[in-house]
Amino acid sequence: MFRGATFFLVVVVVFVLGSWVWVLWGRAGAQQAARDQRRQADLQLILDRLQAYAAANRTIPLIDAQWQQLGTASDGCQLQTSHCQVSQPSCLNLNLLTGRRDLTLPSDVQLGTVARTGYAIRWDEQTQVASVVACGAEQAASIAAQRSLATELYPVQPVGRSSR
Amino acid sequence: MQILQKYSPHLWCVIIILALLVRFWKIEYIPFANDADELAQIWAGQSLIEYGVPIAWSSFSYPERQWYWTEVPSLAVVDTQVAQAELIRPWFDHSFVLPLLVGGWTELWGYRFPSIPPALLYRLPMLAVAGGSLILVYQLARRLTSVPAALLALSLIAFSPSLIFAHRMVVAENLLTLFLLWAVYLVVTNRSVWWVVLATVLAGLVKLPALCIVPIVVWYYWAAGQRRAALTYPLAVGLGVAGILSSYGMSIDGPAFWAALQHQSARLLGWSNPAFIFSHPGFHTRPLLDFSYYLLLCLGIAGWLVAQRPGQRLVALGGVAYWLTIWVTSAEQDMLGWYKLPLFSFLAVATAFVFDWLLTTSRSRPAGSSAWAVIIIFWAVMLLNNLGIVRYPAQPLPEAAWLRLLVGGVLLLSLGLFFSSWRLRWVALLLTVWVGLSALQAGMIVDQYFAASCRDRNCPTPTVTLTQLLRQGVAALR
Repeated sequence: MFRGATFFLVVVVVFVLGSWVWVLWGRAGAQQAARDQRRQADLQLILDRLQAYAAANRTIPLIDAQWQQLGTASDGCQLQTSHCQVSQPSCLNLNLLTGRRDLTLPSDVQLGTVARTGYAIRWDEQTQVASVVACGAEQAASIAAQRSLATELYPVQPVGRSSR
Repeated sequence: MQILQKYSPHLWCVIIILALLVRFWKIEYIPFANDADELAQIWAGQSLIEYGVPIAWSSFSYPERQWYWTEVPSLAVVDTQVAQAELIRPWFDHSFVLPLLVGGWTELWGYRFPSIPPALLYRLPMLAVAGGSLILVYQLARRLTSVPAALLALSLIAFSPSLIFAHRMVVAENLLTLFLLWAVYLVVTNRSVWWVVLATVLAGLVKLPALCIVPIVVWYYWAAGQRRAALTYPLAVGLGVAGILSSYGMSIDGPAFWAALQHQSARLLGWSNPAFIFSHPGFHTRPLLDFSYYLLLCLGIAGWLVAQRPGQRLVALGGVAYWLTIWVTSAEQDMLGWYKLPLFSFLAVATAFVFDWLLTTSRSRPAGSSAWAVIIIFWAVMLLNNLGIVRYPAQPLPEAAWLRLLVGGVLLLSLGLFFSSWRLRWVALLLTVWVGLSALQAGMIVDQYFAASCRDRNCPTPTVTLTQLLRQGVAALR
């Protein structure tokens, strides 16, 4: 008989089941932190894309002053979480910021999809600051980012917005 | 044969080591690096470890709420095709076992989701899996037949070019094969049914088609009069697989998990796959005209015919069961070649039945039996045929004159073998030479196949190669 056949089997079983338990339940805190880190990186990426678009075109797409969820869906985009309140029913499709037809903006790793990303954006016309927030943040602190586009946009003239 | 008996503890180890060497050599080149099916497993594992949810690409249709975008670092590949991947979250195409193994392995080396690690790195665990499967093929064959027969069977699978390439791949079937063979080995060595349950549950957790072995093992226990084991085994396996898999799926996304199971079980199936297996050599999507594939197939099926002992019938039926399982789980003539890996592992063991039968019957009549002659000739044909696996566009091997000479030599060999009687030791010597040539040829093929195949076309090129690492190591030492 091949010695160790059962011993190695025990080792493998313990390894497989132990890994499964550890990954699904033992790493909950670390996974939460990793997801939030991902959200922070995604928000920075969105702002990077927006800034690059503004620099190239001297304008930005039409972004509302109220929070609006990013995505391709035309309805069902309201979002109420402990970190954001989005009441607009339609999502804002900013995939043109990626510069490629087959690229979309990132979505929240836990609750986002291509259609409804779980990230919201708004534009402050007075200060020319774009703000993004991760509605699915899991840890206590809010995950948000802001970027001033004054340098890229001056003079400011958002596409489709009539001058006042 | 006495020499074989004396040196077998070393011989089979030598064959295994050589087999692993040829599987390792240029492992990053063939199959082509960054294979999408391999990346799916890796990404699922990385995302499962990092975020607690598996995310990977899929060819199945999933509802929109599971579509997930991510940008893949394209600097990781030489060809810049990969920029963005439309992935599925959560991904339930496969279970967690293989993703955790390879994903965890890449995470240990610092690769995070959704990075593309070098093929040289992510395929290394599959070497260990292949080694385990080869050991089990030999041990099973030795247990059910004899040392010489088991060595021949091991040699056939160890140096088969198509299996060498397939064993490198990060696909569920490689891991599934290991656990299936393990379960069968525990059955034939009369271990407690609970050990068999453990191995079968592992196989089922890797991929559900592995459970085709359950009725076969139940039949084996029942026929052996072990009624309690025959009842305990299927219940325990069913509860184990169902319990663990469903708790995995429910802990991530229950509705998505059940929907994925339903969807997979209802997909279109193939009605002509048994014939397709005979027409499509190789274990990838493209055929590889490797004659060892047919040698394993034909000798393995012949092994089913001569299987007499209960353990041999278990292996034979296991092969039949998996063959039928492939038929009902893959699409019409669109089979992903690695689906056949468990079948061919069972067939490899079954080839030992034929060799053993021949050895046993050879003792009662002159060794110049036509059966041994056929095997020797077919093995020679395999060596000759496989010279053509490596073909350079400008200089295809072998050249026509040489080919005619060698084929003529095979004909003369056939005449000599069929019409003369000679001692079994000459059979052994000739087969030993054939095995040695097979090993050499396997080394030549793994060394030159990529260069020959990609001489006049663009092929995915690995970003990290063993040669680079060796050069860097030497430079660092200096």
